Amino acid sequence: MRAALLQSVGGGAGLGPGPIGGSPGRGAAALTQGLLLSIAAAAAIFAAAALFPLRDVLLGGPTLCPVRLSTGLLCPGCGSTRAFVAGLHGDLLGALAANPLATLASPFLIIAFVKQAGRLFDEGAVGRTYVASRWIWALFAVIVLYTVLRNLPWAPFTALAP
Amino acid sequence: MECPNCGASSSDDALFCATCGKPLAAPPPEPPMEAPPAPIDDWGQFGADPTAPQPEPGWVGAPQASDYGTQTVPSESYVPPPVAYGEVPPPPTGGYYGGPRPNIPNHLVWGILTALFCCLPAGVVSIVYAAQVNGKIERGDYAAAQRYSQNARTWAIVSAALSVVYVAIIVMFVLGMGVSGS
Repeated sequence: MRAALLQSVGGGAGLGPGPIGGSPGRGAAALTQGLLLSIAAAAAIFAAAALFPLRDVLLGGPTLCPVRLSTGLLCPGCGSTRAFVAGLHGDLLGALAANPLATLASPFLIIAFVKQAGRLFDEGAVGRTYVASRWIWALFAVIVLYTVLRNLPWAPFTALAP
Repeated sequence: MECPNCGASSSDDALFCATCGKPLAAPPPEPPMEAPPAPIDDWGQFGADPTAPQPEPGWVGAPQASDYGTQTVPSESYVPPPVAYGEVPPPPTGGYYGGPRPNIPNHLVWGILTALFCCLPAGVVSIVYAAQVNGKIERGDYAAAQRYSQNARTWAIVSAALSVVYVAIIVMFVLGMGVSGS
């Protein structure tokens, strides 16, 4: 998982060609703009979280997820709303407790978001990162395993449940 | 691994020693060995025929240099590098076939996002298609990669639509709490 995600960020020495497309000079400028936009957006979201006291409503409310309600099972995304809200309030441990895999994946998703924001400014200047297929399969396996384990009602695995 | 010639260490998948340039005990490039590359017809389709369907606007158009090789291919359309069928590609390479990979999107980020933050099973299906897109690219079968890319895109849209529904449920709930709480 970690290697797969590192791969998705760094381009992965030896496993692939690194970035696909993009242009080095223009890409850096667009990425800078995308980063600034992302920081502004993040600041707005954190400010909104601090201003509007929805935390208790979201964390203490009933289960709304259709999958959870219809099957009773914990899917890999279960707890991610709670993890997101906890993260918005700076509660990293709370986020990890709610959905560890989603929390661990979020830095890499943030990088993807920043790159996507850069593409708003200069489409085509920011290249995509090639992830070798074996790492995507590994990620798939991790998610499936995670889903099975967090549904087991015994001591070590209940830590994976929200 | 260590170079049998000079003893310098190189990365595990290097084909040639970075220090002395001698070939290392060849770890065969996996995809070409496990499954043979696509038929030569596919190469011809993408290399020679200008009327062949061009998959993406982002298809390799501008000259670019890979971080892992010095090879640049200044071309208007994707031209397969001069590697004979079945031959081991020359190192160091930008890919298994010695050239830049085609820019076929696999929508992996959407898959991860929706699998871990929302809507089973659409996100997981997206990830499976994303893996298949890159698997086909690694085998040189770009036509099949295009088809899987379309599937990955479709499922990304499905999961995005489910996300909207899910977020709408939460927003309605929050608004309802706000009204009843005031």
